[in-house]
Amino acid sequence: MSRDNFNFKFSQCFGDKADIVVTEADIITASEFDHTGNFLATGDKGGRVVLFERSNSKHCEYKFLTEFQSHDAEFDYLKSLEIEEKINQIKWLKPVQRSHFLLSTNDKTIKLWKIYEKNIKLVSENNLSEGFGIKQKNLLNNNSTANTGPESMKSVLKLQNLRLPVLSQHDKIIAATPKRIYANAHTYHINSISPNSDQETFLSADDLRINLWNYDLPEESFNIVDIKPVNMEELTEVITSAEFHPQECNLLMYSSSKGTIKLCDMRLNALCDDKPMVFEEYTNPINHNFFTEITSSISDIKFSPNGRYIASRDYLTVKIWDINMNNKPLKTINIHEQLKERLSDTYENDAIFDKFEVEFSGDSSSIMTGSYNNNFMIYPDVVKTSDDTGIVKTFDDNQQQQQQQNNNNNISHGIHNANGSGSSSNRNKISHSHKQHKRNSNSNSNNNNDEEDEDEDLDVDNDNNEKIDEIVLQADKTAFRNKQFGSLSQRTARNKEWGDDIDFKKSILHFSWHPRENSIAIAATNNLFIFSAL
Amino acid sequence: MSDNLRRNLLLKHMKKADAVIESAAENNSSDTSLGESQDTLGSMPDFNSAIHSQHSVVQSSDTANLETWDEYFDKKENIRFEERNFNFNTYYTLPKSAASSSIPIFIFHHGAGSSGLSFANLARTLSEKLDGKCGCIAFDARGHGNTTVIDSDLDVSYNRKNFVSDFKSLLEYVYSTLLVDIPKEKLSIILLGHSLGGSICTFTFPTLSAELRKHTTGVTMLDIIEEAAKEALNKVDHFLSVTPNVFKSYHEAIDWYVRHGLSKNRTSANIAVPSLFRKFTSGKVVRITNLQSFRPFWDTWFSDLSHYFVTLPTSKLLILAGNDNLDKELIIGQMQGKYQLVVFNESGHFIQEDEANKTAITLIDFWKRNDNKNVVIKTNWGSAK
Repeated sequence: MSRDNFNFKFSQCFGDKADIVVTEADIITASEFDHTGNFLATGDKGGRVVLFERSNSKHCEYKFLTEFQSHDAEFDYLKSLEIEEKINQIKWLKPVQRSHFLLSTNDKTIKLWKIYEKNIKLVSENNLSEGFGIKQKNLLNNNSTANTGPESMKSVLKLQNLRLPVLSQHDKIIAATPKRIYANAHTYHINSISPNSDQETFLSADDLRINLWNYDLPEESFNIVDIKPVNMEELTEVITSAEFHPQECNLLMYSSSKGTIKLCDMRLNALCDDKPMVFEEYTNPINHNFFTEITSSISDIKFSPNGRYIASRDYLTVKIWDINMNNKPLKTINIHEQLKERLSDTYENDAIFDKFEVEFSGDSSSIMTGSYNNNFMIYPDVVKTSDDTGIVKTFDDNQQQQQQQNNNNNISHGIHNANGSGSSSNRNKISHSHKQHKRNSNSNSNNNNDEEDEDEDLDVDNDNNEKIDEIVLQADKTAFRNKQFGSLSQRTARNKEWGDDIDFKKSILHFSWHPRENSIAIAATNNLFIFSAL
Repeated sequence: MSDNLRRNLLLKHMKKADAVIESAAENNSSDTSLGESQDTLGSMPDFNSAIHSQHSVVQSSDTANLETWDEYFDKKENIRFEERNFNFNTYYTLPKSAASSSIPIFIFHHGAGSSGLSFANLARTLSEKLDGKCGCIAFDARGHGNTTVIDSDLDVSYNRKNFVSDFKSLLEYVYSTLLVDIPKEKLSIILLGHSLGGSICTFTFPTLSAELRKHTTGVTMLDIIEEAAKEALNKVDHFLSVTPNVFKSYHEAIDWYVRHGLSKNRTSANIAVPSLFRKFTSGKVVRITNLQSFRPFWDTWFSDLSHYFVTLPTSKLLILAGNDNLDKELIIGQMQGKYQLVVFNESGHFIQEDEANKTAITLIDFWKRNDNKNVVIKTNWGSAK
């Protein structure tokens, strides 16, 4: 997809838009497009799953399809614990004939739901309904009371007049039934589920274990990863996310709170934690600060749809890895530089523990992730599939004045060096003169390099100045207004200026990218926003 | 909440760091790598308060109008049995005086999915009628109510044998501790079980020590017939699927029970129904005991019940709610006069809740008639010397 297609505009918003107190149960906690992009599922804190269907293929418009209560609160008697009904993840399966299947999970139980159209048939004609029998006309006056005289009844029910009751189509409803319930397999809270490409098995991961299930057998599951230490006092890391490879049915990966990703092959051993390929970036301990331990905890990992790349999200960055190279990531993108100085604030208000997701676009070339102040970031074409011709971003003010406001221009005007801070005008100058060199970027030392660049000039052969497109949008009421306002770049620039008050309650944690087009669904507390570049 | 393990792990590191900093701050002068010795680091932010402040206060208005156990029982105690791996939540009222010749002690065992407070109303009625000269003891069986597991890693099984052993331990404890102040010759213990509790009482009796059995006047079963119970279990799936496990408040739960005829007496429902649920921090009330989890043990619960009941070597009383037909063993037993049969036609399954008054009268009657201490044998000898 060319860069033209990243002009995301607000399309729809579902949910109660009033700003006042949001009921806890309405907060959306999971959202997922299906494989075709025609269906969108969201899960909320109250255990409900809401489905939307594409109503217009040209424009990105969805309409409400159905809603059902997937999970209920439970009480774990033995541990004396409350089990929340909050939906942690929803994953779609491939549809079978005319029904759709999805897996939804809360902390302890996974359910397989079948969604199908049900025709409701009602009896439309029976022997006592009007219009039957010749003598009915006389009885019409009497019919209002329940007791018609015995003679009149007889005249209706003459043999010739008897008819079989007829069932006819009355209504079509969308019904959802739980086909399988996979329960009691996890001692700790389930954080991920992932269907396998073989369409027969799926995995579920909790803090310390990953289990493999067969869809048809809810009574048994195999444990394939177990990192529980014999003595719980020695616990050093927990599993934070797990996923199956989109094409290879034997590969799976899981991330940990220590910042490592392990890619395992199920063919090697029954218990897969023996010789995994470990993706970990070595960072010089000198650069560690107080919070590095916490911010390096990976909150989400995703395979790219083509299966060649892995994206991992920790608190401050997104790292893109090549699946064949595990010693360092291809790229590191700093998401919100502003937070680096405010880490102690985030620690105090617990925001540092927020788990952001990361998503690939359908063509595996772009990345999206969320942040605070209802902001979310899109990095178009940040994943390079072939060797770099480099991202030559030659944008200058002249160009911008000459051309009309079309998509191309908007984006070029709004290019930001995501690795540094500074005013946009400065950046434009830099980008005008700068050429692209190597792919790798080192997130930590970029700030220093920026200053150097300003002084020097073009031919600085610097590994570190990878320019990354970044589009920053906001998913809240301003989206309605900004629909017409300002170019994408201007909005991006505006959204990046956070200033002093960051609203940590407005975090974009859950979202989903349409697999075939540039449309995204964003969950912002109790609202679901749809943005599209169509 | 689902983040607990991860969060605690990450915070553990911070705590260690805290300790390091504090010790380093003390060694100001010697440690040059910390920079100027005047530099002290502030204390770590208190994460505990941050976490707890986010949980909202549970609304108390929901339970404002509901009575609590202390209107019905004198004491509530957690009796810990290490060897049973359970802490049994027990409610009891001890006799206020030992003035009469015989003191009845009613010990109750509730049924599956119920709790000790199911007998609250009955206990209070009995105490009133007997003027406090009786004892009432009820408890939450394993897997129910507020009874908790001691070591949750051990296997917990819910077959009848376990329930029976639990009940036996409790009875022995009660006999040797709670009832120790009452003169032994006045003690009249009556075991009363509702539904599954009836089966447990029947099978516990033979396991008791000779001394305990001597002081037990009788065994009562409420609304339980072996065959009917087994058939009901086969059909319970439908019942369970239409019974909600989550309500928005205690009041809603009570209303549901009354509306669906599970409870015909609102006073009893007000105290018994809330004890089946646990209030979550979100405000919802969630059922504590999931009957589905007992499924593997169902067939152990009622096997051979009728036969054993009829052959118990003690006085027996069977109170039924009138819907069921007796099975063969019970019919024969009744014709042979092995037990007393009383039928309350108006009552629902929870007889002790629906007809607490009538049940109390029947029980008192049962006790008086079968208790030989009350019998005074007039003798013509020995008086006129």
